[in-house]
Amino acid sequence: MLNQNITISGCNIISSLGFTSKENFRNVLNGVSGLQFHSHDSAQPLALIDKRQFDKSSFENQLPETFSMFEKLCALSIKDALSESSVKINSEDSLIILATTKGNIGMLESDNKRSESIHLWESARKVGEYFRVKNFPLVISNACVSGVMAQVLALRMLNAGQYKNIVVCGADLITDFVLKGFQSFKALSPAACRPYDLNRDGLSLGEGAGSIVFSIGQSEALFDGVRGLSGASSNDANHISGPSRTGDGLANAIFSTLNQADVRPEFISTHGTATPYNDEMESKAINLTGLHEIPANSLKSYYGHTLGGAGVIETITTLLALESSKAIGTLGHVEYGMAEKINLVVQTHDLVFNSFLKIASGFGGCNAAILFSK
Amino acid sequence: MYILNHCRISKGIISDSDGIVFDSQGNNLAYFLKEFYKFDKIIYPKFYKMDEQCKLAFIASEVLFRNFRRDDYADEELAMIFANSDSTLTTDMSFWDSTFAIASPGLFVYTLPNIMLGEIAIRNKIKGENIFFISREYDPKLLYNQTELVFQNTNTKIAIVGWVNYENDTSYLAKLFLVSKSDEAKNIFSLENLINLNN
Repeated sequence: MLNQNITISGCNIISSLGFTSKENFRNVLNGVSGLQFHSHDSAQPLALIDKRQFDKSSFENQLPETFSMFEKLCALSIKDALSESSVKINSEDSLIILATTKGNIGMLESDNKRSESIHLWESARKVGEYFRVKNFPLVISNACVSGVMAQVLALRMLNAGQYKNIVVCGADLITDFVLKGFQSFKALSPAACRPYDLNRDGLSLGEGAGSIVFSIGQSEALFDGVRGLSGASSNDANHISGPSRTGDGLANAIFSTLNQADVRPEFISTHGTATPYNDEMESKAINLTGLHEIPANSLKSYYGHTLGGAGVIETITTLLALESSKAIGTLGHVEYGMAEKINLVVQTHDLVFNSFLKIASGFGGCNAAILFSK
Repeated sequence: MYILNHCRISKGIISDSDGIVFDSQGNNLAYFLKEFYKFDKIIYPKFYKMDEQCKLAFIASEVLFRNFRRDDYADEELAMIFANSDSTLTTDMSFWDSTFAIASPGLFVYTLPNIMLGEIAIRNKIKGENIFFISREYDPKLLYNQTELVFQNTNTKIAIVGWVNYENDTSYLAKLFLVSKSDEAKNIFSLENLINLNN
């Protein structure tokens, strides 16, 4: 049973919408989308990090030149998250968890062969070394639920007393590898994605990193003392690349999460990729769990689908929304197009809520959920 | 917590807790996994669509599940906690090669390590926790710790735990453990046994 006093003392988002969580949130509140058409491949919009600003930031922070862009992204994000907090990441009781789907996969594009540096554990080692950590960072790679799952594991390990502080960093870059993969799958919308819309026709890709500093028994706490309560994962056991038709897999992860806590969510941050099948499946899962009247949104039309980063970036955005009593609207949504009704937030408006559920689903039939509450 | 069965596949040999199940030393992995598939009279056409790493994980799980009373458990009570070192690097390279002609969606789907969990889940209707870690080497401490946390925090009664890593047809390793929360067996689920069994 979870429910210990796990609070948050720092966070960061680096994405197409900025380099700090506050900058990102300001853009989201103003209805700004990071999705733009880029000259090198105009078949679909992408939400890319501003490379000039990124290089400037890497230089100012004196990141090692031996770092790949992926490693710099993780290091910058973790560093900014820690800068708000008094947590010493290099203490014996601190751990970094890295959540990513493809890490340095872009390296194959210049030289398609095996190398040590392409491995996810090697990126984790470098990032850990940069922060002089005592414990080798944990790496989780669970497709698009990686970012939610890494937070669930953080809660479990903190509750068990294994660590006092855990920084979860979820990150992925848009590479030609990833882009061509999603194109081959015909999963990308030619325009900015439209979650839960009748005319939704695919997802939009984004890149970025999100980092959250979780601590147990700490007095300093952001977001009005919001605590991480519980979480779970599940498998559809249905199809390796398509979501379940019934939503029962995601519903299982939600049930398992809620069963571990005595709090009901007052808001839901959905996965909401805007593919025809995903959104339909999620709306069914939300109905199966009786949460269809709870206000829910998708943030994919702001950030794009940031893969391993998504679960963390969207959790932080929802934490900031809770703190400022705002329900963030689902940008790009015009007409509801699901067989089953959910209480989708379309326009951003004032809303006081004290708890929320973050959910995610991905290839391999995996689902994950995590619950936060004041 | 007890280990009900364990399975190892490496160097052309498949073994479980009773000893050697199948010996095909000298043959490459693709060949000998297909041989075992026929030998064991497995009928599962999806097997042929899988990449080599998934085939390796699949066959190891088939051996692991022999004599297991699957029907005693609800789908949600079974969990999977896996790890490897290479993620899906071999298939990643094949997929990247394919992009110079027509990028293959059939390869792209196998460029995520947790697809192994998906394949085993579909075959055995496993709907519980599923977590995939990447570590440089087989890390029994990580697997032990995470399995214990899954048992403590969820309704899981059975966990399939282990390591499946495929580099090429001669360099590969699968080590799986079928772990029960309460059904007794000869071997307890301990860090020591995660080190000594399947070795």
